[in-house]
Amino acid sequence: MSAHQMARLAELENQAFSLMGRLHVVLRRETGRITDVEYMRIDPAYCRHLIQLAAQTGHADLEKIAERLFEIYFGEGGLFVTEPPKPPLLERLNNTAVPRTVAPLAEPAMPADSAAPTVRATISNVTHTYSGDAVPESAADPKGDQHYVGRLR
Amino acid sequence: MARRHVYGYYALRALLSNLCLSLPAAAQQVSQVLTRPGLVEQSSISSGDTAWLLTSTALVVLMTIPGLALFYAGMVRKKNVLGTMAHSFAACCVASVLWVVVGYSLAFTPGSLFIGGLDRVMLDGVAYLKEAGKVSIHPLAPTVPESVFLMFQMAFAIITPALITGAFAERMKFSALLIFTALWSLLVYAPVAHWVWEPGGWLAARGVLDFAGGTVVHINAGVSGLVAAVMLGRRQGFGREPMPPHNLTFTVIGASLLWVGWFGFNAGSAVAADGRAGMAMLVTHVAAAVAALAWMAAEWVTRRKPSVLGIVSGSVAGLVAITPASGFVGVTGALVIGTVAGVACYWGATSLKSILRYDDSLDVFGVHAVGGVVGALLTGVFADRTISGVSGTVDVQLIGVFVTLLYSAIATALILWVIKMAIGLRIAPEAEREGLDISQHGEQIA
Repeated sequence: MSAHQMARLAELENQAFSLMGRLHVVLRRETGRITDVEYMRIDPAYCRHLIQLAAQTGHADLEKIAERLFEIYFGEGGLFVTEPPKPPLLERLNNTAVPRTVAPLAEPAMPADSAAPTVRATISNVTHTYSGDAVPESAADPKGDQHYVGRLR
Repeated sequence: MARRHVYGYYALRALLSNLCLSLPAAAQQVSQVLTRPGLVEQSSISSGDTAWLLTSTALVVLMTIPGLALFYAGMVRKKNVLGTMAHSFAACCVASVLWVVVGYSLAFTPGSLFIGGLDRVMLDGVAYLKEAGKVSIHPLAPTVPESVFLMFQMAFAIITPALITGAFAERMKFSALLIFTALWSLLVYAPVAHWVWEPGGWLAARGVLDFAGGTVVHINAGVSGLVAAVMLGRRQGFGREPMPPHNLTFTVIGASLLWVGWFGFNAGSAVAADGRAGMAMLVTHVAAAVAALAWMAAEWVTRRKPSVLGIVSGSVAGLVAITPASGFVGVTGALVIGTVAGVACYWGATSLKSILRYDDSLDVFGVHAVGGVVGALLTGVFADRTISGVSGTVDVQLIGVFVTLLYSAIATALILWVIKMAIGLRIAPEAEREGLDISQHGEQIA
């Protein structure tokens, strides 16, 4: 995927979050319906259902939000059309978490100069891990999905 | 009857005659002493037998469309559902046309030990003469019209290549599939059916027992599926990314249709509405049930959960294994065959597949070849003389299994190699990512 496409998708995702936030507030106020923004982002069926629900309320704001959300997710080049839904945020964070290391209490404090490269390397690792979709292959597949990897039965 | 002999037919017959001349003398003698299909008095036809075989034919066709089509379609990814159903449907059409043109004649008329004659090309000689009160029959089914018998056998010729399509699901060109089905039906199915079922076939002459197609249909399709899966290569992402089945509800419905259809497959193979057909139906049902339980138990023990796919796969494994034995064994035999098949096929579809790392998409080899071998060998053990008048031996059964495995593997490999050289077997990588439905048929499901 080119950098331009990635930037476009990131922009769409931001817009979607903003719209889903508004949808949550207006829908709750108008109909009492509570929505799950995170689940809308990862489950196309749930997302489509809420968009339809919003479109059917007859509320002008909700109709506009629904229309725009539909374009972002299911329209031409939409988020659910161009790539499969991402795993839930918490799962992604768990998969990409860097193991925490606790320095022994007795260890003498390092001089500032010698500690700096280690800190820089750690930040670099984290940045690299979080860059775009470059999730390590071993971490990309959550355990539940392994059921259908390489076998059907 | 319109004259159907054309120049091509004469040329083909001359070629076959020359081939026959080169066969051993024994082969010629066997053919000469056989009874051929021919005309008999209408009064010799049994209405009961005919009604049952007509029903059985419908049941066996029901196994392929929609039974097998649904069974397979539920197990593939959503983007390949229509393409997979099209495989079964197209196989039905191609095999049906070829069967009436030449397949039936090659499989079920006396010719040589290895292939039938051309007497029934374009069904020449298959007749129903109302005013004369005559109807043609086949010697294997003397109480039913030949038209019904050949149609019943056609249903078997349909389902066998359709079974193979599960092995290379989600990655074969539709055009290649059509050519493969046509060539395989003529070059693999028809000869093996002749060897085993036509009284002049060389395996039949050796005493190989195959009541309803354990060897001809299941071992044949299973090993061909394995060869095809290996020759086409693995699907993109196989072993690295999940390939979840689209809708296992389809698969359960398909398996249920297969189970019911199998009553026609096995009990219909008695070609009579009699006690043997009744026994065949009984053992078919018992074996399916016990095999489903055996697979379920094996999976429960090894994986802590009995999957629905596992239970229905177990029933199919039992149905496969009882197929060659159904007209020969009693309930005890069915219980043992079903139990062994359930566990063996579970091993074939899981452990064996993991060890050898082939991508047999829908486990055609693991279920049909393994189940077919189990059934064929245990037929030699449990064949009961009081039911069928014959008893079997494992060593003779082993010959049938080995020969079919060998011939089917080699012939399938050759056919696929020729198609690969001519038009290629596999769809392009981007088409595979897009799915068969869009790339091969221009359609998709919502």
